[in-house]
Amino acid sequence: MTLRGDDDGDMTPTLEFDDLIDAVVKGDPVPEAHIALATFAQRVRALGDGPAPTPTPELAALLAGRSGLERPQGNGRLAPAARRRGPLRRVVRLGLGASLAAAGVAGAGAAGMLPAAANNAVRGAIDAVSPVDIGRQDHPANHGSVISTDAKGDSDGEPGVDGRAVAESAPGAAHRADGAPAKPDTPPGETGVTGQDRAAETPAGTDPSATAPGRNGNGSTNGNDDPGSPPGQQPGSARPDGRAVAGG
Amino acid sequence: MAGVDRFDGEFAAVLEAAQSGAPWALERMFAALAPVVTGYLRSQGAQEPEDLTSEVFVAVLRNVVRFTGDEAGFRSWVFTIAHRRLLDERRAHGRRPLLTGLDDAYRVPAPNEVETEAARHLGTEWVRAACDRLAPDQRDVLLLRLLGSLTVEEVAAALGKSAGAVKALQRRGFRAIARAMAQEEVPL
Repeated sequence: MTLRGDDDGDMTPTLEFDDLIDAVVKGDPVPEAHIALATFAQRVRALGDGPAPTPTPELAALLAGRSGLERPQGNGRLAPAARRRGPLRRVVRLGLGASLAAAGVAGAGAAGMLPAAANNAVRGAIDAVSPVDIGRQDHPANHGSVISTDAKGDSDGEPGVDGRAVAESAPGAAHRADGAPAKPDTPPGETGVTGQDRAAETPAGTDPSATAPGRNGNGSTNGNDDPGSPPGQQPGSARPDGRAVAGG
Repeated sequence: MAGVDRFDGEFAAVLEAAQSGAPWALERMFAALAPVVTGYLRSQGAQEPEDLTSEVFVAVLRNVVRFTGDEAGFRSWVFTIAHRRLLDERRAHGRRPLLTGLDDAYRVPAPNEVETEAARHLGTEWVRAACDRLAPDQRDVLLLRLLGSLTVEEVAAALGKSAGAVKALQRRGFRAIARAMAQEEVPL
């Protein structure tokens, strides 16, 4: 059954009923014949007498003043939030997409996965917003000559390094000039055995089929007679920094 | 509706403090109106009336700096937001859940019929069931009038109807309730 008050004929006349409704809604006294209706209205009002519900975290933050209220804009009484929601969400989505793309490129650049030119561009972009140095290749001439106080132990009293001794386990320690215990008896290249001699001892040195590309073993090359050039590389094609330029 | 004062005559001061972000004022606004908003949303069959109430007050507090008016206007604004949130929730869920029917309400067991609390509970259940069985427009009007204490004009603005249409809906709704109470032994 659905309650519908469509048939007005069986009740109090309309004008009188409107007055009754006003009294019922306001909680004013009503004729005894309509006490039940007044009680109904009282019970409906009582549905809102419970305690305030527990606020959600978002509302709790607002109530605590931890989340900012909107500032007045213009002179409108109320600007519907829904009207601003669409464009705002689009802007947020676009911004988020751009941020993710930039983060992806920056991450790839930091990991060295990009071509050199792109890598340098990414490095420049990161330098502009971050104090972190992701590794330049043009180290200064005095790189490593200054030892921090933390490394030497000056800052906390713990014994550190003096910058001169090199551990035996350190790579290349045997070639350090001041590393007495690890210093070899004969400097590299002073054993009387030349690199040419050692090359002949390798399997490739005795295998004609292992001749380097571009060399045919009889001195003639495919136009490359410069012994200082790597195999297959044109003379003068090396850059000043020693890196090869792709031949074209 | 004149005469309803949930701020002890201090609404203007509370509003000013709330607009400057004072937590005590925001809390006071919530404490004053959240129970009736929750009651309205529950009576309308909201799925999560408590959470929906929080959503309403998030919208209210975020925009309170732009509000101008008295307590009646503020209450009307809050219930307008509550009603729109309710419609949003109904659209999101696709349909309106049925509340307890009148027959079910009558079957609520009462250990002792002379106990006032049990009778009051039964009466409350009947009231909820009766509201649920009203035509939706009539229910909207009666609940906003009685729970929200909104005037006919404020209800009309909240529902997007004319004042005349609201009066007609109100009249029919109350007639339906009166008729049901006359036909049934309502334990109010």
